Amino acid sequence: MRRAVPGLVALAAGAVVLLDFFLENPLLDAVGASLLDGAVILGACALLLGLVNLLMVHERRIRRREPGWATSVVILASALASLTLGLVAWQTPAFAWFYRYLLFPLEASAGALLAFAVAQALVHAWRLGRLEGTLLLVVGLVVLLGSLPMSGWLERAGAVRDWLVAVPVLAAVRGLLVGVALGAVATGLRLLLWVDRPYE
Amino acid sequence: MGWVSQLWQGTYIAAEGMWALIALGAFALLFISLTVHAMANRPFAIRPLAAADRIRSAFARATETGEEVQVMLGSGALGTAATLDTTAGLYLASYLARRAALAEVPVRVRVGEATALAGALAALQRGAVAAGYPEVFDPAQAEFVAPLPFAYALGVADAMRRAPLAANAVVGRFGAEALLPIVAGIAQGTPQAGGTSDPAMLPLFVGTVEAPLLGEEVYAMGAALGEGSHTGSLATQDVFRALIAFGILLGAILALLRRFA
Repeated sequence: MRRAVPGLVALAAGAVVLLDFFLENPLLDAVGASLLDGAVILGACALLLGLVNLLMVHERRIRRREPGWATSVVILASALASLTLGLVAWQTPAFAWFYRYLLFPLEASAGALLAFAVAQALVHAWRLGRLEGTLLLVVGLVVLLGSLPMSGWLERAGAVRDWLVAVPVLAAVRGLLVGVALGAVATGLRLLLWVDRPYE
Repeated sequence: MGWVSQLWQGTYIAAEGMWALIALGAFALLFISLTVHAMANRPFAIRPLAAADRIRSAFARATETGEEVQVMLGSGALGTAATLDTTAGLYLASYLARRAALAEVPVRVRVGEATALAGALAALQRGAVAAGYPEVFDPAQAEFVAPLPFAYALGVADAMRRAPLAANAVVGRFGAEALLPIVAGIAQGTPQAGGTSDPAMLPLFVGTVEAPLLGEEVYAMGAALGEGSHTGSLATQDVFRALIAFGILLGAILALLRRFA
């Protein structure tokens, strides 16, 4: 009974939201919207769980002096500082400053690292000696050259890039999308019909 | 029955919605019959999935080395478009937790989204309970790294550099930021497997991960890891894929004939 009731509730909620997607009915619309609102509220509550987990994991790492415990001190201090700032200085310039001059630049810097990671990944793929890896490296270089403002014979790289994107890449993506859509429907049905309960 | 007609009043379904509902109904009917068949009789035969084999062999090695097996779920949230990819990662986490409880291998699930953390905790606990050792479940096995994608990726990369892993399974919803921990894994020589259903991100996985999961293969992990009931849904997908391919071919032939007629 303890396992059946949550499953039946999930099944009913899923069926209502699915029907609401296909049918226009005032009652279904209202119930479906309420259920989706409830999911958003539950998602927000899960953030508290995230905070507790963060504190627990890093507190344990510091207490046990595990490798990298000093980083955990910085993470805990930063998490508590941003939490305090959010609670005390909500909607103040200090809060906006925190986002604009600290968080966003840090994210952007991490994004800039990606260029090096992509280059390293391409070289790794080529060194593996697999056909896919070599193909990826060659196509990557052609697309990169084709995107640059070149003149002379290198201009042709632009035409090759356009053909690659419009014909083989598009065909492959469409094929993949058909498979992904069918897989998504099957996985959704498995969850909805209670065949699969990965997070029961 | 007055309330039924009252309830039905004002109900409307668009033509395209009707066709989609009919297709979904046909899919669901075939899905139910094939899943029931797979559960009652023998599961359908499926082609082997390199990623599942890779994870199994890395797990076997972990039983000897005692190193951690990591599952990266990414920054996808349950209840959004990323639900199904995240669910695939949760299934893998539950499978590994079940085997880890028996073999005493540490499993770590690193997430970048709070609802996925709740799912990961439940999946790990379910795995330990299914193995018959509920006491081995430790809430710290699931780790909420950071809610922003790049912060998550850098946090996981840092953790991977600190402690060597027996294997890194990357299954969930990822953007290009996933390359940062994957490259960290390459530098450490960690066996890596995984993928995402987003076609735009697939080249990154094909080039870097030893056993990539391409597109819908992400959803086939359960069947490849031995869940017999999942083979029914794979068979349903194959039937519909064949029908769609046949439809596309027929359309192309008819279009060609019309051109030359």
